[in-house]
This record gives sequence, C-alpha cells and structure tokens, in this order.
Amino acid sequence: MNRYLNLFLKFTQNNLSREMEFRENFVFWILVQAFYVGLHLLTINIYFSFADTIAGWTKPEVYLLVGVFRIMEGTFKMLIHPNIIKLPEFVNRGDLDFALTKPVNTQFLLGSRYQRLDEMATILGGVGVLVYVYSQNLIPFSWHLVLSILPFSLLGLTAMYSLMMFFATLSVFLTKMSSIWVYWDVLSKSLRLPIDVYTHGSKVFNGILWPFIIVVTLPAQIILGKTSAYFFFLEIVGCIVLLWAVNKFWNFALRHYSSASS
Amino acid sequence: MNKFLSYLRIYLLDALTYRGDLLLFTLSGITQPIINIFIWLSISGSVATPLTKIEFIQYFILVILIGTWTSAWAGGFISADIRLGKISPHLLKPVSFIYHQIANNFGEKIIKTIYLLPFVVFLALSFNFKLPLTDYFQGTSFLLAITVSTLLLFIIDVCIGFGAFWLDDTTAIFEFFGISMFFFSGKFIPLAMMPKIIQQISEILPFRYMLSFPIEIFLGKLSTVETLKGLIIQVLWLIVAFVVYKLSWSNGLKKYSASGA
Repeated sequence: MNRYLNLFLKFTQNNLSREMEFRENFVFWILVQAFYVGLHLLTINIYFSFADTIAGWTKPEVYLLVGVFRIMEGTFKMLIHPNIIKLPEFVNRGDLDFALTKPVNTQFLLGSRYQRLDEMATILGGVGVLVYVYSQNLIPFSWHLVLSILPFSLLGLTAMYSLMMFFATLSVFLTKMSSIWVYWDVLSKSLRLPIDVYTHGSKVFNGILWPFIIVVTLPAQIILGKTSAYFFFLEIVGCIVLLWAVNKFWNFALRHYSSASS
Repeated sequence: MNKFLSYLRIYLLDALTYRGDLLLFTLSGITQPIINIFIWLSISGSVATPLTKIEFIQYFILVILIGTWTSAWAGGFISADIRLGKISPHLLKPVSFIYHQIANNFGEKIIKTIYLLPFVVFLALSFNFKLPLTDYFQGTSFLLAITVSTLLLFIIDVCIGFGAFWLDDTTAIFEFFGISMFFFSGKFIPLAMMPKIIQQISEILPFRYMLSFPIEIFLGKLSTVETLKGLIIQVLWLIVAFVVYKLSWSNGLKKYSASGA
C-alpha cells in the first residue's frame, strides 16, 4: 500500500513540475476552467428565464446538479481522464507490454500516471456553486443531505469511470479508434443536465438509460432528498454492477490483446 | 484551378482513409444540437417562447447542417505548422499555401455531409421537420449568405492561425473566439432566445454572420430590409477579414523564422 501511495505522490510531483514548465499556460487553463463553470450557470439562467421548472426541475435544483457534476467532472478529468484517453494509443503501439511487465498493478499504473492539475479549478468551481446554493438558502440546508454529497459524488464518479472505461476497452478490439475523446465529449455534454430533459420521466426510457442516470442525475436527486429509499438502494447497486461488468469486460479484452509490436 | 482540383482529390482520399474518425467527429458534432432540441422542447412545453416547438427543431437541424458547411479548422493546424517551421515546404511550391487549406476544408466537408445526411434525414423524420416555404428572394439571399458565412469563418480562422507568426501560443485567442461564438453566433442558444442586449451586439459583431444569419433567412425570420442590411454587414466583415488576412500573411512571412530549418 505504501508503495502505491509513494508512486502516486511521485506521479503528482512529476505532473506538477511539468505544469510549472509552462506556468502562464497553467494559469490560463485554470482561468478557462473556472470560466466554463460560470458559463454553464449562465446558460441555465437563460433557460430558466423562460420557464420556472424544466422537466420537473427547479433552477436551484439544477444549480445543485451542476455543482455536483462539476466536482465529479473535475476529479475525473484531473485524475482519470488523462490516463484513459491514452489507452487506445498504448494498445495501438504495443506500449501496453511495458506496463504489463512492471512490478505493480497494471490498472494502477495505467490509471494514475498522468494528471491535469488545472482541473482543480473545475472542482473548486463546483464547490463554489454548492456553497452558493446553500448559503443563499436556495435549497434548505439539512445536515444529513449535505453530508450525502461526498459519498454519492464518489459513487457517481465510479459510474462515470465505468462508462468511459467501457469505451476505452472497446478500443482494444477496434485498434484503429483514436478518437476516444469523442465519447467523453458526448458523455459529458449530455450528463450535465438532468436526464429527465430527454426522458420526461418515462419509466421505459429511464430504465434503458440507467447507466447514465446513476452518474449525476440520481445522486443529485438523492442529495436533494427527492427520492425514496428504493432509489437510494438502486444507485448503490447500479454503480457496483456497472463497475463489475466493466472490469469483466476489461479482463476479457486483455486476454485478446495481441501486443502490436512483438 | 487544375492544381486546386488535384489538391481536392488528395484531401478527399485523405478524408476517406480516416472514415471511422470522421464519423466520430460527425457524431460529436451533432450531439450538442440534439441536446439543445431536447432542452428547448422541455422549456417550450409549458410557456410561450419566441420560437415555436417546430422552429426549435428546424433551427437546430439547420445548425447541424449549416454549422458543418461553414465550419473551419485550418487555424489550429496553421499555427502549429508556423511554430514548428512546417510551412516552409509549402512556401517553395508553385501553389499558394492557402489552396491546400481550402482543398482540405472542402474535401472533408463533402465527406462529412455524406455522413450527416442519414442522421439529418432521420432527425427530420423523427422530429417531424417541415421545410419552411421559400420564395426566390429568400432562396438567393440564403445561398449568398451561406457562401459569405463560409468564407468569413474560414478567413477569420486562418487569420487567428497566422497569429502564431507573432505569438508562441494561439490557444488563448482560439478559446476567446470560441466563447464569443457561444454568445453571439447562435450555435448553442438561438439569438432570439438571448437577452435583448446580446441580440443588439450580435447584429454588429461578425459572429452572427458565420452561422445564425443564414439560418434566420432560411426560417423566414427576417424581413427584406433586415436581410439586405445583414448581407451588407456580412460582406463588409468579409472585406475587413480579407484585408487582415492579406496583411498578416505578408507581414507574418517577414517575421517567420522557419524554425528547424
């Protein structure tokens, strides 16, 4: 365990010193990320200038969803995304060989080597939105709901990870696929709003889209105290099932990895 | 012209080589407009909005099509080429550097359009798209507007790319350009849904004339006077952009250090 912690800290150190080589660039991206959180809120304000509720959600509720989404997105893009997007290239060029022969867990090595530290601004932006929502009393403050933010954001994050990992694993089979960023693009764009906008609460569509709903929409509803214990349970089970299934898929893909270079 | 056609042939083949990638690009391009259709349909369900349900659908399907036709992506590549000294080979050729960028743009758009058509037809059918009635004036001004839009966006994009003659990193300008497009071009939120002040500003700035303007004409949202006024402003911006392009190219080449050579 200590070894892994040590490695992780070394990776962080290395990433930070790389960022410091282009300091202005680093600061610029921090500003841009923070600005995008603001822009997101602005578009929501424009939507709500026409209607009081959208697909059953009020403006403060969507604000909360945005806050939770940005915390998850920031964490994901800081720690996980920079590594996942490199996977297809690793497979394509046969670099996976080097990772497989290292004396550490392959998934750890592949999953934690690179970081985008400027995404810290996105996380802070998300926290800022939540602080705003509760301090202005747009949503009544209650301890047990606020304390559920952390565990349910983490749960949603595992679902986000599972979905992206699924697409990255596909690339092991479709070795020509270098545009993996497109999947993230589509996912992050469609998840940053309540899924109800697309399904209008239809049970059938909600059932089909459950892997997407458990990422942000359902956690936000739980934090808002809008759901029953039944959905609470579904969220936990859903995330575990998704993670398990993707892990199975990844292992299955690894057995079919043909190592392009050797 | 022959030279251009052979460039075009090269880039058509090039675009066909990376079929899968291009298909994914196309998919990512239509995601946001489709999401926007869903959002605005949810909003306009209960309240009166400046655009009707049908118009929202028409608007965003047109954003997909016209957005693809007017899009430009040369700038990023040009600035990378300038920084790395890779435009030097082009300077030695007996063909103007810009030709191969135009051919690349044109070639990829042809393939992208072919990819888009099934999606657009599917969307149009599933959302019950109706073609707005068009008369001759509307039709010609639409064709004119979309041609100027394409040229304008392409030249501005190239000019930003030329920024690399003077700056190490043009990312900031591209980012700023993208944000301005977000507010003033109608790409994400139809200008009719924007606050009044943004609508007024957008009539003067070039961004509306790179996307929203031809769509507005097509949807019959503009009077004859408004259409003519828009066309004049559009052409004026095109002239400005062209002058900037000429000046930045000739002055930039004097600054160009051909690094790596």
